[in-house]
Amino acid sequence: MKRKHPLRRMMLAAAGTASAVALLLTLKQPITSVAGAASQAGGAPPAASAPAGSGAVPAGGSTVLGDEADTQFGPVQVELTLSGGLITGARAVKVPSTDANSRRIAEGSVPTLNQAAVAAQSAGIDTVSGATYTSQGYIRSLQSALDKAGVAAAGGGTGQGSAPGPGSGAETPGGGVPGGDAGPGGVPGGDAGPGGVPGGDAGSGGGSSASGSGDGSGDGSAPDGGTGRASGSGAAETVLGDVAGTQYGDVQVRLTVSGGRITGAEAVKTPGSDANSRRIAADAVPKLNQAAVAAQSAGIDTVSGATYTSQGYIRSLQSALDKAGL
Amino acid sequence: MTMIQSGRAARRLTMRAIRPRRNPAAVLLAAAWAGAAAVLWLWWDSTAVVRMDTAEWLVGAGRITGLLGGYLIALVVLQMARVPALERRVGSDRAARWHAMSGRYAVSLVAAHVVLTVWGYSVQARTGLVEQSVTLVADFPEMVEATIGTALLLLVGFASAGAVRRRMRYETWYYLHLLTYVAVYLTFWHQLATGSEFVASAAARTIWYVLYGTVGALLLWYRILAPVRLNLRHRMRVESVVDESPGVVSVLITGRRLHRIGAEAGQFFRWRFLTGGLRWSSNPYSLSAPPRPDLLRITVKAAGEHSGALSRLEPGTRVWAEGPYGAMTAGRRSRNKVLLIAGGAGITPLRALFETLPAEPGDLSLLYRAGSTDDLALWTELQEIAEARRAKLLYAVNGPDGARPEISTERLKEVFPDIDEHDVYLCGPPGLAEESYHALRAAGVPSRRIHHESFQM
Repeated sequence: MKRKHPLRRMMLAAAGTASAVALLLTLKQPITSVAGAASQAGGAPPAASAPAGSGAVPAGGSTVLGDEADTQFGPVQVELTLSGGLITGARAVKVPSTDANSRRIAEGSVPTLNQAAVAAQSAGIDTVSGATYTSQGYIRSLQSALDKAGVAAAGGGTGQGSAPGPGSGAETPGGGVPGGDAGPGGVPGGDAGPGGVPGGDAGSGGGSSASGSGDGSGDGSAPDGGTGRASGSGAAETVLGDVAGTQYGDVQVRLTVSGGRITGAEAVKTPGSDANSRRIAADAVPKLNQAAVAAQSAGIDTVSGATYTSQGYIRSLQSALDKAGL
Repeated sequence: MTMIQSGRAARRLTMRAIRPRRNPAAVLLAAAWAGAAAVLWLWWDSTAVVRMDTAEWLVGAGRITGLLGGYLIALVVLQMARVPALERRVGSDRAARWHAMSGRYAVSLVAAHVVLTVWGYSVQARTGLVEQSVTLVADFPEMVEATIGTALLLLVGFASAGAVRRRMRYETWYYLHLLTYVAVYLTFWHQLATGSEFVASAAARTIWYVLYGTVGALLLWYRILAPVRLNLRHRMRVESVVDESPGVVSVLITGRRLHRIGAEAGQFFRWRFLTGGLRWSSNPYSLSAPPRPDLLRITVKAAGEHSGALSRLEPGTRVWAEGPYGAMTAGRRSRNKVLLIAGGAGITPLRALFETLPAEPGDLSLLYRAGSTDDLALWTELQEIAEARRAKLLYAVNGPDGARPEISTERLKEVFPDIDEHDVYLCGPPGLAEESYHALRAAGVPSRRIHHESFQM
């Protein structure tokens, strides 16, 4: 029965809502994250933080940041971890994430793209279906990172001069699929990282990734050449794990091993009896593949929501590692 | 004791102490605001940063308005779920006004959400608005359904706008309104499928399912199952129709164990008479006498199409009732002295209260306003009750020249010197109710002791 002022009430509601929304948005300004963004954009992060950040990087690895590639839904930026001229890790530091849908698409496709980049050792990777824009941006940024790394690696190669193995290894990343085969040449360099501590030191001391990797491989080249050739004759080999049965179907893992390191992991069999387990597997397997390469062992975590698939994967992975003698 | 009261019930009623029931409105409003804050927290928690650029601000604002809209729509449905706490404690009229107000606000939020989101995405993707709208609807999950749902929601909102509503038959408007349920269902899924708050967090999804699930369950129970149970148990039929005064009829309704419904004087039911055209609409009419184990009575003024047809009801017609609703009961009262002010057909709930409100002789008064003495429906009964209870009964009618007697502060104070010590129950046409309300406030009756139900929005 109180006097009503519909117009005034409406104006109040509209003004109140608008200011509340504006206030919330203002409070979400990226004030604290400016430093983080700057260090991301600033090129090579400090060598010490890179392994911590990506978790998958071997001690001696250095990182190269690709250029930002714009897509319809936002920029993509790829960071590569290189070790002795070989891509040992790839991750996207920027993905389209401004709206829920592109974030979801990015979440689904980026792990696959990361893995493909490591597997292909080049930018010649397929786009992920349903994530065309993200994939294309990813590939462009990946290519620019490879270009930068190619320069660095070539510099390192010329610097050391004496070892043809690493030299050819450094060129292969550009070569697309054959890179997998040629890989062994480069791999010893990766081994040299942990083995020849100087590589790691040089990386952290160098500040810039280009000089870091150059110095590192230069120092470690002589022994590497030896091991490289020794295992190089064996080249990259694939090892098939045993089939591990799960409640929803079989899991079988195939590892690509080269120079005593896991350079690739993929599941050749996954639970696919029903749509749901197919969906779960499609989601979890890329993560597991990545984790296997990162951990270099079967000591990886199960993916939440995909416990059975993960457990089967780990069993098959272990058996593959046993066969490979790792 | 009067002829209408049965001895035991009457004694119990008179013995009953005055126990004012607290109106839970404040608590419910606080809970609704807290819920809104929690919803905003969902956004806050799932959003990392909003960079200072147009697209991010637009999309961010779209997301916040969308979340609030989704939350509010659940409340809008809840307000019409006929939950007893709202219908009998807060009051049906207030719940309906909340519903109308939050309904308008929710539709505005949804409209803002649509505009801001499409605009934001198109700035982000550097595409045209139309192109972006097509992409949004075609490519995003659950968006076709959401688009249809939103269109329905806007249609219902449009039909409820005052100017349009007045040009529409009540029944048309009512059935159009039922489309809201379809709209809410259709729009629900896109919130979970595309709202980043929900895609990212299972906890948020659970909260949303619980919110909508609870509302759905209450709706199912109080709008469908409870009425079905009531009508299967009590099986009401029209016993007879009695003329009370020109254009005013009473409908007597029998049924089984009607006292078990728990209706109180001052409350109303929504009645549906299962005959001819009346079957399709359900109308609220107050009980015009305290409920008896075998008999309920409503008194209706032939104002509209529906109420006019009631005078032609055949005895034996099946009746479908939903209720009881309404908070204008003895529970509202907090003082010994009570004044009832009735205008025209508004006498019905007050007639029931006049008989049953516990009061000492002399503490209870009824002021009855009507066009002429002929229009004083139920007058004989009122006189009998007044005599038996030694209550004061007054009427005010237009003069022979058509002069309207004003219910003014001075007049009220003159007749009731201690008017500010009264609880006042008010029921009548909007003009009279408003006039009386202001007169009473000026005479020193605090707002919390003026009990009033009005279905004017």
